[in-house]
Parts: sequence; C-alpha cells; structure tokens
Amino acid sequence: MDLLSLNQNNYVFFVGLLLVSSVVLAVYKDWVLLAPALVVQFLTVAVIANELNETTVRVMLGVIPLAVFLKGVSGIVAGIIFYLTGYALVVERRSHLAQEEAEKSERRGLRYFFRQQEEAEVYRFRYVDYVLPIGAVIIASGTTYALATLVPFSGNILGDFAFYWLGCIGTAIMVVGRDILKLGIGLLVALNGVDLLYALLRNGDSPLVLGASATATILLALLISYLALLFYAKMKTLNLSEGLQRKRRSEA
Amino acid sequence: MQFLIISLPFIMTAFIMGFESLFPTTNFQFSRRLRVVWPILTLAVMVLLIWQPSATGENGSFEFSALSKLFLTLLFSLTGLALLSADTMGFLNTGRFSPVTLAVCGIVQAALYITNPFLVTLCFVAASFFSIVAIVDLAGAREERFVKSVRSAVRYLIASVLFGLMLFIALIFLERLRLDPQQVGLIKVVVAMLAVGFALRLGIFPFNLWLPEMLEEVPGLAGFLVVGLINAAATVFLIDFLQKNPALLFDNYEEAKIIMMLGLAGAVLAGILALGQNGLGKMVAYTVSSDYGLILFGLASPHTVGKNGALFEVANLALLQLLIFTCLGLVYYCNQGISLQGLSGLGQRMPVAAVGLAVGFLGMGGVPLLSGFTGKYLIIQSAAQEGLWWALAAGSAIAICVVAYLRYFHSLFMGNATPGLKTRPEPRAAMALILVLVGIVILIGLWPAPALDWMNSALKGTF
Repeated sequence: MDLLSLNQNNYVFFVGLLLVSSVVLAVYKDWVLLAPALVVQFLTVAVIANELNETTVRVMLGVIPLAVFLKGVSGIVAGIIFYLTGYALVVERRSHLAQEEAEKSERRGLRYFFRQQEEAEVYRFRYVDYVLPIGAVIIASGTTYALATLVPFSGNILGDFAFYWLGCIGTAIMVVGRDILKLGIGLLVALNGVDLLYALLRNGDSPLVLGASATATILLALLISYLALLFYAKMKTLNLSEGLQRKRRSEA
Repeated sequence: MQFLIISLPFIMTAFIMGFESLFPTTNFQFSRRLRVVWPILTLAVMVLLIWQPSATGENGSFEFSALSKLFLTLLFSLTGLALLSADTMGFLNTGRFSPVTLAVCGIVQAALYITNPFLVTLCFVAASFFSIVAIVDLAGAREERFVKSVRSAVRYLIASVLFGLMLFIALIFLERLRLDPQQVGLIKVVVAMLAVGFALRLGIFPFNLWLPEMLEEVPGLAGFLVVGLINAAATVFLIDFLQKNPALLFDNYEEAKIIMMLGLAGAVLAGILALGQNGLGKMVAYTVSSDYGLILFGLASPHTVGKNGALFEVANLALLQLLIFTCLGLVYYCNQGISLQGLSGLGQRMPVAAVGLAVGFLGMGGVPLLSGFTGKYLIIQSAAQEGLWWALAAGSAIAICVVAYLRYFHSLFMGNATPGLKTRPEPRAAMALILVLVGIVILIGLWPAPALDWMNSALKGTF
C-alpha cells in the first residue's frame, strides 16, 4: 500500500486514522496513548495535505515532498517531547514518594492538597471523566458536518472536512482539557488544521514558511513541556484551576 | 548583512547563556554585571544595523519600513532601560530574563524585517513563546501566585496561537482574493479574522481574558515585554500591512466603521470594568485594553489625525507601561514580594515609586503636559470628525480610566500606612531610572512636535 499519497485503496485508512487519532487525543488523558496518537495525526495530516496541494512543481527531498517531510518530522519531534515529558512526570512522582510521606504527617499546604487530589484522579476510574470529552467529540463532529456542508470553501470535500474537523476537535480539546498537556495538544491539533488549510488554498510550496511552521510546532511542544514540568515540579499536578478552587472552598 | 541582522540577537542569546553557565553569577562578580551589559550592547548594535542603507535586501525579502525603523529604535531603547531596571531590582538573578528579552527583541526585529507575512505571523507567535519563559520566571514565589502566573501564561499561549491561526487564515484568504478578485465577499472574512486575531494579540476587550491575571501576578518587566514590546511591534506590523492592503480597511469605510465601533465600545467597556477590579495589576490590564481599543479606533478611522494619534499612542503606551511596570516592580521589591492587595500609605515609604506611578497613571489618562495627552487628543479629534457621539464615547472611555487610576493610586499610596509592614529602601539606581523616565514623559508632553513629525513622516514613508 502506497503510504505517501491518497488513493482508492488507502483513502478510508487515512481518514479513519485521522478520526481515531483525534478521538484518542480528545478523550484519553494517559500520555502513553496521547504521544503516539499525536504522531499518527501529524503523519496522517502530512499525507492528506500533500494530496490536497495541487501545486504542479513540488519541492522534493529525495522521493518525499518537503511539506510531508517537515510535517512528519515536526510531529515525531513533538510526540517525542510529549512522551519524554510524561515519562519525566512519572519519574518525578516516584522520586517524591518519600517527601510525600513526610508531608502527609503535616496535613496542610497547597502542594499536599494537590497531590491528594491527583492520586484520587490517577488511581480511580471515573466514567464521568470521559463523559465531557466524549460529549465534546460528538459536538465537534456535528459542527464539522454542519460547516463542511453549509460553508464549503475549497471545492474538495476531504479538504473542507479535514480542516473543519481539526479546528473543531482542537477547540473541543482546549475547552474540556483541564491540564497543561491537554491544552497544548489542543493547540497543536488546531495548528494542524491551519497547516492543512495552507496546503489546500495556497499555490506553491514555500520552504521557508513550511520550515517556520514546523519550527513553531516544535517550539510550542517544547514550551508546553517546559510549563508542564515547571508546574508539576512545584505543585505536583498538571491541573491548572480545579485544585486551587477546591482548596479555597475547603479553606472557606 | 541581512543574515547578520537576523542572527545577531540569537547568537548573543546563546552566547549569554553559555557565558553564564561557564561563569556562574554566584561565583563571578563580573558575570553579574555582564549579564545586563551584553544585551544592552547587542540592542545598541541592532539599532545601528537597522539604520544601515544596506539592510534592505536586493530581492525585497527583507526590508525595514520607515515606521519599523522608528519604532524598533524606540522599543529597543526602552527595552535597554527595562533591562537596567530589572537588574537594579534583582529580576535578572534567575539568569533567564536577559537572554529571553534579547531573543524576543530578535524575533520582533525579524517580524518587522521579513516581508513574507506568513513568516511574520510565525515570528510573532514565536516571540510570544519566548516571552512566556519570562512570565513564569518566578523563583521563590508563593504557591498561589505561581499557580496564577502559570495559568495566565497558558491563557496567553492559547491567545497567541489563536492570533497566529487567525492571521494565517486571513493571509491565506487574502492570497486567494488576489488570485480571484471576483470573490469580494472574502474581504469581510479577512477583515473579521484580522480584527479578532489582533484583538486577541493586543488584549482588546472582550478578547483580553489572558491579560488581567498576567499583569496582576507576573514579574512587572515581563509584562512590559508582552504589552510594551510585542504588542507595540504587532501594531506597527498591522499598520504597515493595512497600508500595503488599503482595500481591507483604509479605503473601505464600510468595514472600517464596524472596526471603529468595536474599538470604541471595547475601550468604554474595558474602562468600566477597570473600575471594579480587585487588584492594581488587573486594573492596569483593563486600562491597557481600553487604550488599545482607542488605538484600534484611531487606526481604522479615515482621518489622518486618527492614524497619527493611534501611532503616537502606541509609542506612548510602550513608554508609560515601562514606567508603570518599573514602579510596580520597585514596590514589589521594596515590599519583598508581598501582594499589593490591602496595602495602603506606601507613598511615605516609597516616594519615588509613588511619583513615578502617579505620572505614569496621569500620562495614561491623557492629562495635559504629559506624553499621553497628544495621542489621546488626536484620537478624540478624529472621533469628533465622525460625530459628537463618537467623541463623547472616546472621551468617556478616557475619563473612566482616569477615575480608575486615581482610585487605585489613592488606596495604595495615600492614607495611613499599613501597620507592621517592613519595607526595604528604594534602590538609588531604580530611583534614578524612574526619574529619567518621568523626565522623558514630561519632556514629550511639553514638546511633542518633533516626535509627532517623525511619526507623521514615517506613516507617509518619507522619514
């Protein structure tokens, strides 16, 4: 099966990959699943964007179009950054077990409170956690269908659908996401959508723009990773708001 | 030459980081001095390079407009002062602020130098990324302040990326429009995308959700990087972009009127909300939103005075924000990081910060004889040319902000001193810097003609 261009044999495969990876990114919160799903989505978008770009003279890197190469590489690098961040957080969590025991005896402090909260979240399966993201995915699907049928702009049904889908699902992830990594993933998904639009509507490859876009993707992944690690190192959680609000309520 | 201009700040950023790791400031006294000397020297060289005739590329890929040259010179000079001010108050101690500042300056310069608007968009997004490192540079901060800072940084990150996405989509549609001029309906889409994108970037109400918490919690001079440096440069880019594409706004009164209304409405509403804030930083954030609303109005207005006023106000905003953030930074420094909420009577303990903040606030309020007067006067004049209600709306936005400034200034600096509060004396270097900035604000207020002439010439491209 040719994996660098869309044809009748692999059309369903790539569209399916785009949908499945987006749903995984929206619904799950485990970084072991999120990082590979992000890489898969980037690679899928690279192939779809390459197919949608109707430029006759493409900038090639050997046999691979430069756009596909840069998109794929930036996705892989972003995925690795997220994977390493998740791994670092697990290591960080383990290394603080001893300190945690000491803090438990004090029974106070914002950090202790956050940690208690996170333990409850990590070790307990709550179907409620999945209701909101699944609801968001359903709403994003409906919105995508409505936009792609009511406001088609490119004359290509796959292009319209993929752009709207990535935009809607990226926004949905940001709206329901409560931690820094999820928000970052939402941003990257939305960024993917715009890259697709660029391929869809613009005539001609601009290596500089493609390179800058890939650099921006990697920088964004690095920044999200930096913020996540910085926040986790001090607060022992990635959740930005809920912990602080509950702590205030309990103090009140 | 072009390569040197683009790469110099990044080479120096890497050099400073390498130098500080080789000669840690904890062990080497000279390294502590050099961490502020290197970036200031680099900024000075960057300003010299900007004005070189050979800076313009032969194939048109790189070019500084007259407006860019003028504003980059101003912004880099202010950034140099910001670095000096940060040094006097210990904000450079973590070792991240000065390299990040230099990197942000480098990206902002690239954004106003590169002519490809797609690359410019990515440059502004990248500048936001780097500024976030300065925003969360909070060694030893309380937990709650730290959480709020990171939260505001994440909000700012989302706003910045959305700004980039909006601008990117607008540019793609604009290119489509150039290829097929029959699709006139796309102009509305492009203008809407540009308006929302820049409202997110500049923090114009109601797209300013990221701004209040940031200015309340982050180190003051990081606030200058965002509000004073990047936003001012983004406005300059917007003006250049609109001049190159006059069909979008400048020659399109129908669309411009909507933008003018939105800008003015945003200015009034942000002013009203500034009155009800429970923190000085949040109040400043809403007044900045209000000011950018007025600037948007001035830019969109069909009258030359409006555009001149908006341009003057952008420069004034950068200057006054530096003054205000320096004073707030000094207050934080003297209070040893204690939150300003609930404090009063600081005027007796920190007279120079009080004077600086008073001048900054009155300048932002457009009081005569201070630098803020000219820009606001021109904007109101432009509003008056549109009609009485427009002028009344612009005037009331400014008046509400003045009330908010006076109210918060009174509660913090006047009245009885907070009992039991231990404060450090104001550092002499910081006092001198504040007084210099106050002098500049008064000088421009008394004699705005040369600056106004430069801006006018730059806007016409004859500078």
